[in-house]
Amino acid sequence: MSVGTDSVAPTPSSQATRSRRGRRILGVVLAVLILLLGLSSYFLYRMVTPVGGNTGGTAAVDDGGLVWVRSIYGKSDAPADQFDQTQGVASASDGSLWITDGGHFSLMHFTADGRFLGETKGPSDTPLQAPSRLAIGNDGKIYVCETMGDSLRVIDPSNVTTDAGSFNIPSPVSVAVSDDRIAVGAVSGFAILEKSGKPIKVFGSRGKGDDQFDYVHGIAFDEAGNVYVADSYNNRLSAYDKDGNRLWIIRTGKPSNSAEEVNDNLTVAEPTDAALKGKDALQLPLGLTVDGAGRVVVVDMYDCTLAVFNAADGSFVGKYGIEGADDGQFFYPATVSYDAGRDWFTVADGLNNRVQIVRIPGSAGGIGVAATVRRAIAGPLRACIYPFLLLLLAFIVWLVVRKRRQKRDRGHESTNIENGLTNLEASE
Amino acid sequence: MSDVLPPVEADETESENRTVTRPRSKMMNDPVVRRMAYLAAGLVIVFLLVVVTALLTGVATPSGPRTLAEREVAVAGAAVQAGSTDTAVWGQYIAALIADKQYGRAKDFIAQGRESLDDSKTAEFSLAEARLYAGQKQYKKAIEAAEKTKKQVKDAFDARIAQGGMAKKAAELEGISSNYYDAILIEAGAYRSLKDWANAIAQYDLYIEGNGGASDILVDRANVKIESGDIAGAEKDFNEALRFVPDDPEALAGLKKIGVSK
Repeated sequence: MSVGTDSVAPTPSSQATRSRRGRRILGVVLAVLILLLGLSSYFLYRMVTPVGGNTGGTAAVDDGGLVWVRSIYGKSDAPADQFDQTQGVASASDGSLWITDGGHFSLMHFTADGRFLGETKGPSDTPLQAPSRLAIGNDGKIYVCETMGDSLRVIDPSNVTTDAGSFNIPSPVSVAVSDDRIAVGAVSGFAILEKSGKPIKVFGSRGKGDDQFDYVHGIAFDEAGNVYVADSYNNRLSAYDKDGNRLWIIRTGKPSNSAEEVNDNLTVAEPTDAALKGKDALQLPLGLTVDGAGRVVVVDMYDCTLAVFNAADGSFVGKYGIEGADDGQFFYPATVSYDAGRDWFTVADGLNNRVQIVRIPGSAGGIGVAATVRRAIAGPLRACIYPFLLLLLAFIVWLVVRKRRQKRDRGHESTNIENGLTNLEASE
Repeated sequence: MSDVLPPVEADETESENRTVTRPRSKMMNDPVVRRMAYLAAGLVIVFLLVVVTALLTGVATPSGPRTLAEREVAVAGAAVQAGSTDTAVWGQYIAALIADKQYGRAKDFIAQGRESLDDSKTAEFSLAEARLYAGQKQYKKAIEAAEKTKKQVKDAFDARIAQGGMAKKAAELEGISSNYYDAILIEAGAYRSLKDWANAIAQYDLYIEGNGGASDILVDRANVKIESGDIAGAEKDFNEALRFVPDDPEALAGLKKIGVSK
């Protein structure tokens, strides 16, 4: 062992004793430190992870495996800042959420962790009028339905004081945006527009016929540009290709607009063409979206569930969720949007006055490591990203230093051998 | 830890020679000690970085409630902080604190409420105490507090009836405080947790006697009857619940559990 700066060299035995003591002390310190940091990390994790989800008396009821991630109830803890009948929610590409409700006539912006970032009521000269359903384009622009104002408003979040445009659409009740198109659902049908607002195709009239609609409360594009439509009061789902040709149409339950008075009672006859019956049947299909696996996910408002359909033929896959007030349950949910980056759904849980973030089985676009990592870092584990990168960097530095040392040692070794050989030759 | 120190490696000697002007603790000359020190420092740095990252990424800083319990605490808490003297508002706040597992604060507010407010009619703070004990899994104490609540509420109601006149009419119109039935449910739940099925059923009977159409309680009683082995009684209760709420998923699940179709 080297002497260091001491003028008098300690004896090997005294140094060994000191080191033994040092090892013991540091060993204990290290053990205590690991324990303390472990406990602190545990409490930190508990603190940032919301505790809730389906518990208690409803455990006996099958919710299909829906997993609650978290809920957002309002802008702050103040009673006036709590949501009042959430109507619309859309996920931006950075994971943040834009939310509308019946109590605040504004677009409210939140991080996915539930931190309120701000809100806009639109430009001061043309403020938003009762914004409801909304969608966000890849360019970040927000398209908002103003049902009462017969208008679809465009809001640029980076410049909310300037009017970014609007389209005159009679009673718009749903909206979807793709790379180059906008689809708007209305009372009597739906329209596909260019981003400039120029109509490409307009579908339907109000009624119960095959090509008629009664409130298109849900509309969504898939990656190929196909359009999926929830014809709410006719209780139907249909799909159209990019050119507007219908791919399929199914009746998902009893239509809500077919009540008839029989013997002084309002009754709805069992439809003969319904694809879904009994517990599978939808009661009122509302908002819809397309998940990472390409499936159509529909909010069933009255059944308080998310229903999943195969996008290829409209065949029923399953239902997820149950009615209730607890976190992870729904009560008159209105709309749903899918965040591919985090593989979760954001649901405007209307009469529970909240937005819920949930996951359902089989929704991920990718499988394996990438999807697992994406899911993990969408939650509190995100706090470990920088420490992990630091550890990775430290490991790389250690590897490089070790490599260089080994190289240098090998250099010393060969020099020593060469010197030895030279000495040997000289002595010979 | 070994008593024999590892031999000094050549590169370490060299490294010491290079830093000969820098004073260092002699313990740090031991490579094992040095590595342990580096590990300890590294752990602290990583932990601090986790805390900073949690703050920077917003993981640890939500601005509003994230769960139903947090929302209830926020909303009911605001009313209490605003100076409400309504015992029901206090009861709601304390119940929210208990649901959010803030037992210490709940206990403090029960004490504060008892000191400053009159709850002789509704027994709000006795009920809150029963709720608190049940939340803390102290079921025997929860039963005692629930019994106290029931007696207090019943006595107050009977006293109003005994007064006669307008007081009697008002009492008859309003009925007994709903806290009476809430206490019954807490007591039933506590007996259930103690696996005292007979007493749990007796409490549910008492509740259903006053609230015939409570399908959820019928389902609860049916589930306790299953535990006690009274399958026929359970089936009857599930079917009775379905009479009030057709397709009640919990009642249907219960019937499925005992192998009976609707």
